[in-house]
Amino acid sequence: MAPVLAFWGASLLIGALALPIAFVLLRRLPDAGAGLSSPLGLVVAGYAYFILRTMSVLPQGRGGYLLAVGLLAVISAAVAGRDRRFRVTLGRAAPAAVAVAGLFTLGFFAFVAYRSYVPDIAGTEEPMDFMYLNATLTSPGYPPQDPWLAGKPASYYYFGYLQIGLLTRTAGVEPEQGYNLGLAYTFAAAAAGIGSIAFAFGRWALGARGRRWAAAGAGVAVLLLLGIGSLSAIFEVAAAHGRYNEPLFRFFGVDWLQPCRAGVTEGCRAVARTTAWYPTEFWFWWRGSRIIPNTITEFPFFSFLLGDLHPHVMALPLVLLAIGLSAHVWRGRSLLSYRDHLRRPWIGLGLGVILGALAFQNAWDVLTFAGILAVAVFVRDLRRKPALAAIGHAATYLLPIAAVAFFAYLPWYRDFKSQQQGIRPYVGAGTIPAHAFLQFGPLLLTAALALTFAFRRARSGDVANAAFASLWLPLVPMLGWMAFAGARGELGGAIDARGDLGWVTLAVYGLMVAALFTSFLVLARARDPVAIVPALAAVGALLLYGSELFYIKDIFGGQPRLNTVFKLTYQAWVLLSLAGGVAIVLALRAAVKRRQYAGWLGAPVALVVLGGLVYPVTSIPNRTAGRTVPTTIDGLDFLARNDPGEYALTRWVRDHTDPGDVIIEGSGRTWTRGPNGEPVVSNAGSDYTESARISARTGRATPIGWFFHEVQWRGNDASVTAELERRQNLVDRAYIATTPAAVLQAMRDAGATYLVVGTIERSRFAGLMPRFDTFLDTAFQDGDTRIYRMPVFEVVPTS
Amino acid sequence: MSATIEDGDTSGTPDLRRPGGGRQNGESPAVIGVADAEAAAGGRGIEISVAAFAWVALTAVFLALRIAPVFRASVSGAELIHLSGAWQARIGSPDDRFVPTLFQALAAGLLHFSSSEAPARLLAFIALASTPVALYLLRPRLGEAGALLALGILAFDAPAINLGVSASAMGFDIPLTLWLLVAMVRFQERAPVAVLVVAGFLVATAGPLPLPLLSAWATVGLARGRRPSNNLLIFGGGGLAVGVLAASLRFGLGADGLRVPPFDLFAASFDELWSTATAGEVMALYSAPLFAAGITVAAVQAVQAYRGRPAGELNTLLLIWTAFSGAWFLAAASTNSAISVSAVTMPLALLLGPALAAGVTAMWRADWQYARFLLPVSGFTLLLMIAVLLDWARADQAGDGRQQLLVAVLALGSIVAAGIVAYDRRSAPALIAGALVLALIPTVPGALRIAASAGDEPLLSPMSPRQARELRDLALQRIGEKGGSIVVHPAYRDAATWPFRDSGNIVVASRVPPEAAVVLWPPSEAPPEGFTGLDGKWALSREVLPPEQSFLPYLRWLTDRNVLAITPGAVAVYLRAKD
Repeated sequence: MAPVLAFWGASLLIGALALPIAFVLLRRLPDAGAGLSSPLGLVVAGYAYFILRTMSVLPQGRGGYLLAVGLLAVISAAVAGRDRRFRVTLGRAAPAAVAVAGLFTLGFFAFVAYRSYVPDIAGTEEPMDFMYLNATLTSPGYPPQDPWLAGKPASYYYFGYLQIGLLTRTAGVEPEQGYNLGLAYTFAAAAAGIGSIAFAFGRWALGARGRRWAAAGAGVAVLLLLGIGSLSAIFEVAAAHGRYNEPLFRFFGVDWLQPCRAGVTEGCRAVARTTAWYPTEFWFWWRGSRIIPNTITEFPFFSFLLGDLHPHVMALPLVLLAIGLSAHVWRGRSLLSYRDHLRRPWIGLGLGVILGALAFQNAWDVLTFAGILAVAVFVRDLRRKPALAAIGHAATYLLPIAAVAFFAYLPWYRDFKSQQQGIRPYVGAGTIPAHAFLQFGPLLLTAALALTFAFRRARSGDVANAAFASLWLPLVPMLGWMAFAGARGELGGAIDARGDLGWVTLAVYGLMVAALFTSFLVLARARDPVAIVPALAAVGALLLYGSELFYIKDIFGGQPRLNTVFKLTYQAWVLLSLAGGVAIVLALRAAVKRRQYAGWLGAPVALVVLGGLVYPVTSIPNRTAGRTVPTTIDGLDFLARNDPGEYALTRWVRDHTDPGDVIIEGSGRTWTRGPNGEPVVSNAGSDYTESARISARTGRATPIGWFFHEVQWRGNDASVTAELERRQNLVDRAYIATTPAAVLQAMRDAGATYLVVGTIERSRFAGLMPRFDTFLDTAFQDGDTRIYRMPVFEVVPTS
Repeated sequence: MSATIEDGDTSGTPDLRRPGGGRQNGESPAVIGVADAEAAAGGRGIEISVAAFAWVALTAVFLALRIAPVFRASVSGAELIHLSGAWQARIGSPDDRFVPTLFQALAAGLLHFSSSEAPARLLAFIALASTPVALYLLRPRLGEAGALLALGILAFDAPAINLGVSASAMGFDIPLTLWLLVAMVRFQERAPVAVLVVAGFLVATAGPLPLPLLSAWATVGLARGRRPSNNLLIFGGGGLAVGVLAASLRFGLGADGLRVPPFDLFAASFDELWSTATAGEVMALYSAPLFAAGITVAAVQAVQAYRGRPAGELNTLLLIWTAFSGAWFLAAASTNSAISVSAVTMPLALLLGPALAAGVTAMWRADWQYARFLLPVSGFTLLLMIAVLLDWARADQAGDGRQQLLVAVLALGSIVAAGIVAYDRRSAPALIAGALVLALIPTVPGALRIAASAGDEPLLSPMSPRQARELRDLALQRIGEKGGSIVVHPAYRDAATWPFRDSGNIVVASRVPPEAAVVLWPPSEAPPEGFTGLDGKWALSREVLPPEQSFLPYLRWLTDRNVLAITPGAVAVYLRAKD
């Protein structure tokens, strides 16, 4: 319990320290940014740590992190000292700050309670996430080294890991606890963040008297973001209990949930009926994130259920902070231009650091959410200036921020190599409407409720003008797609491949974009503060629409739009949750208070939202069922129980080796003896296995980790793969060489001090390893599990 | 010499609740009394005020408690690590243990003249001797009595005694921190250029102890909307830059990348083994009364400030300083370093001094009608209870039900007696007398033991035993006679550096090389072939484990400090057998 409390306390402390900064950057929100202060504090302290460590000003270890937090305190004091309205803002925001702290606390401990049943850092890509967390924690130099490619800097967006590392070290907990508690922090900070913004939108729309409705909107937004899942779970539950209607299942594109016919094993459900009230099939909920074929349609609840500490998950609080900043900008009145930077340069600097962090934390987010901020600045300036002048002023305001956002993170950009190979038109099968409904139905319907109150005071001429202007929003990408596909000679095939239903989905998305944007224009023209709700919903719908037309080409050639759909729909989920949460409450309030009948549409939509609750209600018991061990938050507890030798080895490496030491461990290939007794490779897979597990669990570098992931991070060039293969050969040579000299030479070539012989090595090099103890020092031993060290010989002068 | 103290003259009694006291310029009643006496005597003869006498006496105590360890104490804790680094720097051998603080550089220089640790410690002692002067200069803000009591508290703070005269890289930290406070208080924003440059340089080349004060100073100033002066930015920053440059060049020993020693040592305080006991244990064993009283005073003042009662510039600074230091201590409570304890005790002593002065005055003025009987009763029942608890502690288990009932009754009796005194607001301040006695019981023996360099104090652990140096002499004698080399197992590499200084080249190896003549090897490993073991129990280091973290072992240790387990860093010594 102590680590949990320490981590929670550290999260609140950083949030509290960042309050003065939040008050300046987000003052117009009712809580003055208190709900977003914790990601804000983490960005400031995390950035300070990153840049000062890169400059070698801060040392490695816990002290460096604490100094960064101390620096945050001093920066906050400076901001508070210069802010004349600090005390007034503090007094105004105090009740809301206490409320969001309560929401954060509730979210944090609720998630901890869940995760304590499934704390293992094992399976899927969790070892990779743990590796990056450990890399940021223990790297001897900064920018951090890639533990799975000794001697090379990390080439990934790792700012989220750095921030969770900062919390881990501030709280003084172990990394394997910090991993799980970092997930809890992310969950809670996302809840507090979206609650804060949704409450602000509600208050802006309804005024102080609508406080309760605004709070309800905040609650619904939290629920939509973090508490609902794919509607496919309804079909899962029905199928698991043997209740299925073939035409209905086929209509919704989930016919693979029906029981298999004799002799058929694929594309159908081969599992027996469940006797429990929820589906007991192993990880049935996984399918909820793969509803649209050849894509990943992950959503926040799934992410937290699974527990992979991925960048797109950790980015949720930061993304919400960026939305909050955009809302704050949108709500302001004065003209924004370069003059603001001359008057208050620190604000531009702060915005630059925050927006730059979007790329550093999850590169996919930067364009979308920086774009939203840019639009907010432009629209704000448009209230004061004609369009062209507004563009000019907005540009002079935004360009310095963009420059800061880039140059502040230059040390990271220097090492980062993106796998993206440009934009391409998507020419495959389109998403069918049923799948789109199952996946995004609750969100799209709630967000669409914004249409029910958008036009209530508008003149029909204004609406027509706005609608005409808005049509271009879906039309331009469509025309671009046609031109692009045509230029590549793929248009004809693409039109056929999309299929009729694919076109229907595209049309629905496009109409939603146009309708929502129309309502935004109408409301914005009327200076209605609630205009931001349909605006964000329109952007969300536009992301869904765009992912049907284009994709970012990467190395997943067989599933070309896999990552694009994954990342863009994830962003859409955030935007639609926020807009939907506010919209449904505003619609229902209009129905109740003003007898506006369109608002009653909120009632059936609410039922659909309730349908989205089936997923979490059934998936949580499925995920946690069968746990017989005591609950714990220690992500390596499973190792301590199941393989004490490996656990002891891991602890030994962490406690007794230097962060810069290189360790050789099983790289992934499995070797056996061939017909003539020579070693032959029997299995070459390394990714998603326990390869490089010691490195992942300790942050110590190893010559080669997960091969294909390194390709993802560094590109598919021949030079990259050649280097990776060279390293894999080097590692294998260290284990199967027949002479001590060859082993020692392999270790020297790899720059390694230690060589691990544990469970993995004994299985992958069975009968092939030489007697290491005859020529290496045994540094650690627990049964058959050992770590060998290069012999030490050093002449040390003492006078 | 004459001195009189006005007694019973309540009209002239100072209100010491306010910094500076109620009298003019912070004069104490004693000073006033002296002035009156002087006037009565017509100004004849040499008059020394009680305050001056107290300053001299407390300074003497302060120094006396620190002079013996300079020459007597074994090299221990962070000092052992840093002296090893300083020695390697002195011979020009790169070593991570050399942290380029100014003190470390001077220590390395002094090792040119003597291979003993004493000159470096003497340097630290000389710097520390200026501490009473710094506190003397703070009288106008702390009050005469407050400053005196702060000196008294610091004098008996065992961790500060140990840190103050040890030749660790942080040898200048305590005096530097206090002098920085003096500079902040006296000069505010108008410090002379020379002071800014020197302060900047010293901060950049010091240990981590000034960091909380500087952070607090920056926080208070910035939060009040004060912009740093141009002089501070230019000259203070310049001094800082020169200091960082000097540290990065390791004071002439060669470039080592960008180095900021205070940050490096702050980080090291979490990661390195600077003491066997954790910071939390050191605090509980040696500084608990100071922490309890100081934090109570800080909390009361913080609450008063929150309720709108202005705390004053210095008190605000001290409170924020305490907050930063306290955060450091909390974060480091389970780490093996006592530096964070000293970081907290300094601001607490400065907060507590004036508060204690006010408390003592209030105690003096309290209604003792019942307290004079009840407090001894409370103390006596407490003593009886402790006597029973001591029996339990010696037996290492709690007594039976009857004894437990007896203890409960005695505790209740003590509490009731004290409670009756506390109930009446007029007599409540009398409780301070009891609290003072209770505070002195663990504090004074701890300070005296550290001052006497007692070898079985956990604060002075791990240490390099004198036997390690004897082992070095023996090994040198052996290779002088037979030739060959001294071989040390890598496990002893760090522990051997200081005792084996000035021994020519030694070989650190995990496998015994052929030229080995004397081998220092783990006793758990097989003896090397062709060698015979040297009789005796040898150790290169020695650790005193703190008492268990529960009340009875602590009580037992408090009354009998020889009960702690001592674990020697045993080493097997092998000599090459005759050919």
